[in-house]
Amino acid sequence: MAKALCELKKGEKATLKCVNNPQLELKMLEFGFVKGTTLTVTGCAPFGDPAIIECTCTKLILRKSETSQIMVEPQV
Amino acid sequence: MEADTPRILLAGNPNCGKTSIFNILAGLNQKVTNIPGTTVEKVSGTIKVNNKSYTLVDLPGAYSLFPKSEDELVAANEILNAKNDMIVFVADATRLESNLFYFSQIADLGIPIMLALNMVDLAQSKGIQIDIDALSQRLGVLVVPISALKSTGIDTLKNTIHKVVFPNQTPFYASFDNSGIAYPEFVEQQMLSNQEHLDENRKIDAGKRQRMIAEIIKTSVTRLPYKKRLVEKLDQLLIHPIWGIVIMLAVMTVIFQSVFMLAELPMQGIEWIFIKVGGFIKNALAPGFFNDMVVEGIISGLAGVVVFVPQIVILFFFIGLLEETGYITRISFLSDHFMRKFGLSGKSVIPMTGGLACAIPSIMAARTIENRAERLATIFIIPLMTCSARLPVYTLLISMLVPEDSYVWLFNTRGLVLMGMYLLGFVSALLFALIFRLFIKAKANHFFVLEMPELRPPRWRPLFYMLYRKSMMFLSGAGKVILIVSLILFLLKSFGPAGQMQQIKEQYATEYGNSLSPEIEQQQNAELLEASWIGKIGKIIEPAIKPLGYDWKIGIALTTSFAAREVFVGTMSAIYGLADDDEGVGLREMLQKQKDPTTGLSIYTFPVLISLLLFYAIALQCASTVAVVYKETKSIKYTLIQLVSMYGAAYFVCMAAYNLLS
Repeated sequence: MAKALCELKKGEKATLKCVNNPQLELKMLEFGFVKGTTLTVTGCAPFGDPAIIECTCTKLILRKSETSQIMVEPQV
Repeated sequence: MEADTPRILLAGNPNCGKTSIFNILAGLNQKVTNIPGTTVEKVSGTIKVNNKSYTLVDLPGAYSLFPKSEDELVAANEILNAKNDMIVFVADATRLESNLFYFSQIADLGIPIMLALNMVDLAQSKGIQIDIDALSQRLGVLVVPISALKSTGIDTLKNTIHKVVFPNQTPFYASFDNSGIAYPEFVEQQMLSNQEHLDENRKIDAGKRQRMIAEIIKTSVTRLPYKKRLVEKLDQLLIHPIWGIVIMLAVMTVIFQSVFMLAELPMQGIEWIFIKVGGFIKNALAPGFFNDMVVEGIISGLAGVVVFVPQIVILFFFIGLLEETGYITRISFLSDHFMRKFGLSGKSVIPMTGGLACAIPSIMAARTIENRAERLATIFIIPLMTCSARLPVYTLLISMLVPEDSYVWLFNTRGLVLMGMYLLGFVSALLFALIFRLFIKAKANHFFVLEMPELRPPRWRPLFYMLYRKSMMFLSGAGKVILIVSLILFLLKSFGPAGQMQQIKEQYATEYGNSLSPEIEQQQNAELLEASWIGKIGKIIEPAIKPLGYDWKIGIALTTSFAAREVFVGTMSAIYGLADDDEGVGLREMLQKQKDPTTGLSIYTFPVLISLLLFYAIALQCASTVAVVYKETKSIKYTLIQLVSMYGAAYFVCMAAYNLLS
């Protein structure tokens, strides 16, 4: 079941499915967040926003306004 | 710059250690140029390899050739539009995958390029093993492993530079798509096209690049399991939603206290030196107008500029330290949610904390905020934070307001009122941010995507170069304006309408002879001040400030303290004819004795004091701040809006408070 990245809890892993905003998609792509990449939520600020999202190549801080547009498939 | 010196660009992602490498290579031979129309600085220097000179340009960090921030735009322009002989691309070995994207774009432009692989030591400790030869072969460029922190590999890098003069790299991604156009043309097309409308080809290109990079990484990089280092465990604590905030508040307190206390002594030293120099010149030159202008206009104006340098150096030392270690990004992360509610960003926290010491370096520090709307909002509200120049004013007014041994439970009431003023500053800053947000909207399609750098030990060299540059920038930029304002105030103080001031001088001369006792001279100066243009201004604005409860004498102090808030105290002493060194208790007693000549009631009543306190909390009574805001925003409109809205707000708040309390 695909869900938005913002619904993931700290420590959860997921596979990147798609980004619902072309501008954001390009920006994420430039950072190396390609479809199929494994993402991990490694940190949450107070109130869970923003969050730290880690992939093999880098760590990004993303606000909920961005993570709600990123669809992922949780890994078990 | 000589035409025949080859030009080398130093490019790379933010936080890749580019600037450290630049500093090691160029040493003190650096020149800073401000890019017109932006706040971005371009730093260039000269290096010598085998007796041949090269011009080295340190570009602002970027993630892509297609710009999203001012920094990236400047970098892209330098790469695309200037005549470059070579590019040294600095990559962070711990984040090679994400760094290679920007590299691949630049490599495809056909400019000779080489890869300096920085932080190889750190990568190794994280279990990342990079096969340099394989990487070099796959990319078709020279790869030099270095560590800027330990200064290893720098000589090899230097000696490699002259080997890369001819393009020998194989294009990373030669032909774009099926349309057959070459990459440089594609980039040109994209740069000219509407940035708001995204070309699908950009996405296709980016996707292909990332897939190729993944292939290259697979054959040249191996990741071994490794034990979490102590630093990474510490990092978990630093970004913890509760402990992280506790640590953040502690760090902020230390910074604020340091800017406040460490700057105290050097500032006194600077003032002392200027007083001595002023005294020396006063005696050396013949008495008269020219003497007064040099001593009271220029020297005291210069003192007013230089006196800020210690605070600037200390605040920027801490900011530099936070940036170098990567902690500043953790602060942004933790505070972003709260600050965003007010149209600010997590990055506004540091400039606002600095504003508790002095608005001037803090407004300069707002440069780190990429989002223009958030940056402007931050600059807008910084002057409301309770800066140290307000303290002498607050101390005087509060001491008149509250008796010395008054306590609320265990706390001294004066201290509580002062704390209340700090709180008022912070709350009004947030309120102004909210109002500001109504007028300037953030651009649509702006994303908050911030890379979290590794926590690492600071590199001192770039830190000290930065401190040197910031101080020079302040002295040459804002310094000029402050000097001019203090000269104007001096002229207004020295001259008055036709002969009135001369008349007072003659009157005193006939009455007391040529040698006046100090008290008589103070009395004369008070009368002279009243007769001068600035005294006239005080009288002219009296009807305007009457609703706030002020008389013309306060009007004079308001006018002169536009140069800097603390001037209020000195002016009040001068108006009431007190000696300069008797500004404390003497002035307070003198003020409390003042009665209105017509009604016979006390002038400095509770409503007036409250009104004055509020005025100094809100009004933008600081010429230096106005100068710096103009310099940083390059907009007269913005500077005026800030100035007018703060005076406007101060006026109405003080009027309301005075009338409600009377």
